[in-house]
Amino acid sequence: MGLFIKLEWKQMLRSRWMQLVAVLFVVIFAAISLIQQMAMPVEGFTRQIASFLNLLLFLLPLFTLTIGSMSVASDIESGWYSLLKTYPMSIFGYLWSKYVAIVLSFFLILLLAFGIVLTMSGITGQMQLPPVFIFLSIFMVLIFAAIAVFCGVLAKNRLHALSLSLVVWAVSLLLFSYILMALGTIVSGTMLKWLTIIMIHLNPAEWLRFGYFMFSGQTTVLGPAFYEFTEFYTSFFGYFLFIMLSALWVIIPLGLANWILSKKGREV
Amino acid sequence: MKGPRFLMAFFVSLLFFALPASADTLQQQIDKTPEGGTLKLFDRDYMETAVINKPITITGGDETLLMSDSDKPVFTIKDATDVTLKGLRFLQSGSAVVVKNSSHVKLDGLEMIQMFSGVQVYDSSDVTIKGLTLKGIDGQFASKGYGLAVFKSNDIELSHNNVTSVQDAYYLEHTKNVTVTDNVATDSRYGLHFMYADGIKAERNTLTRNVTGIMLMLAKNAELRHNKISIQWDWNSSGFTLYNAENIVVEQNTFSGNRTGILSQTLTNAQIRNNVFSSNQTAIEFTAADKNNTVEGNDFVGNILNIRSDGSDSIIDKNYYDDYGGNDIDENGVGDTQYVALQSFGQWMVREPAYQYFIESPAVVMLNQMDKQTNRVEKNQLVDSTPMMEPTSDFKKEQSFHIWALLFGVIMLGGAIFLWRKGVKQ
Repeated sequence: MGLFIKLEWKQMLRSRWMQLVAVLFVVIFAAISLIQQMAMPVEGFTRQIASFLNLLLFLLPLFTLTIGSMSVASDIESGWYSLLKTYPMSIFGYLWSKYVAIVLSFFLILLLAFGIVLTMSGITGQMQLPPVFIFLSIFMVLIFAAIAVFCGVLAKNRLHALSLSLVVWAVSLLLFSYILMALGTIVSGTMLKWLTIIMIHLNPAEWLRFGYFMFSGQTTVLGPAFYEFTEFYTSFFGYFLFIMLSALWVIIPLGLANWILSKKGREV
Repeated sequence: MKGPRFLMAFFVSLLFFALPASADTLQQQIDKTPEGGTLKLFDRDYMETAVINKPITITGGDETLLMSDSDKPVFTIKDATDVTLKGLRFLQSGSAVVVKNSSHVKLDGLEMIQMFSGVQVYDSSDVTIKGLTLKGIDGQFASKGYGLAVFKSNDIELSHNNVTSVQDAYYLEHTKNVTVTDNVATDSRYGLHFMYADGIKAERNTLTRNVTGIMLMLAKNAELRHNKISIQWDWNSSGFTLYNAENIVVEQNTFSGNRTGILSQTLTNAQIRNNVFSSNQTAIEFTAADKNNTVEGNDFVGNILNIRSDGSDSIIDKNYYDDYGGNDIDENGVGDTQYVALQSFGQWMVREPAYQYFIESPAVVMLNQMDKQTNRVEKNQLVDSTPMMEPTSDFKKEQSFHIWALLFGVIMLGGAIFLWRKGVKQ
């Protein structure tokens, strides 16, 4: 399996698309960091911090989902997966190797982006890279890489994988929130609060956004309506539950992908 | 043999005369001091309380420490004039000083540690409290007292005091002609709390990490200038809360990192001008009942929401907004198109607090971009028709060099490039 991970990782790094994504991400990340210098250095959830967070929420899931899902779909479409089946490797072994290769490739992009931001921050002394962003990015790659593998397995071909990824991205980043905001105009405030809490658990993007507020100690940003909810999640058990539920966001998509591929196996 | 006996008798008698002086109670010492005289307390611990009802100056030595042995304050100044307490240290007591029905009282350089409450002034006039430091007890705000509290008094001056970890650092109720300058309030519920006050001047105060920096309730004729209001970041926090207040001037203050810079309700005839609002969640929040307020010449930088309201008739003019996207073709320093601070999401948040969860979320950022296009035609609500192109404040910061960040950055960057190249080549 180690050899296959290495091979997959190498292929990912050689991919022109991956290289382009790396450049794009690093440039935008550095640009936003430079813009950050405009703000006065204060604690809390400022517009610059929000921009940083949104940049991560918009770009990392998009890149991870598209590249990850297309990589898996391409294997199935090109017959590479059929060839691999002739080797003594389980379906889960294949999926796990793909997952690890995607995660490692994106970790490298993050390392590059954080390296540039830290270098610039060393020179100017004004930029910030809060550690919580580093952990949030790692969590983001871990979760969305698993969803990407699931989308790839679900897709019939690369184009289908791309469209599936875009749908998942749009739903989790935008549509889910818009639907809830629209519902808020017809339901009571308490109902809106409970629907939001349910959405936080069902939507990986919101889950990670909430994780940012939890781990940065800024849950008060979410407003007094969520006092009890955030109090619970900022307890020891809350942190434990957060880690467990995050792990489920990795295990469930990979498990489902394994199940689907096992069923599909006879056809591919 | 007579010589040594005489000497012994002399020293014993000295001891006899000296002992009672330092053994006098605080009250006895005060009683023995003539009117208008100065009493210098001994360098020892006093665990007692005393009442002052005559003109007197009391000072402490380097080792003087005052504690109350009951629920009563250490000093009660009652029906007195011309009383000065200077350089005294108080420890672990319910209250240090209570002033009642007195005038010309001066408290100078007092130090208070682990106190439930510091100073309370009732029905008095011409009271000056300066250079006082107070640290309250640990625990919930409800279990703490006020730092400096003034009730039904006039001509009060509070300056250069530093109060932390109490319920309200400076509380003033039913007061007239109050000057509060150069004070510090931290980690308390309210920094400055004015109730039913008339004629307030609060200048150059530094208010940090309180629930609310300045709370002005049912007050009128206040001037709040040159204050630094930062990191009021708790649930429902704000820099200033102006509730049911009128004729208020808020000028040249700096609001940074607050949940809401200025939160107003039923505010009338307020002038908010030449302030800096930087990196607040919401800079200014008006409500419908506000009337005839002006927001002019302020700098709005890095706030998530600049001005929000559920509909008010405030005048917004000549402010600088860092998110203004207009041009200044005639180069007169004023934007050629109006700035609309109105955001649908901001209005929703005022009406339904549960919406706050979505603040600056990706969905809301997109929504705000659409709003900017549709709100261009807005004429009435939260419109600044003369937005400034340059801020009035200087936001330049000093350049500095961080060797560790640079080192880590270079290592991370080098490591990433090395790993990538190695991965590609293998």
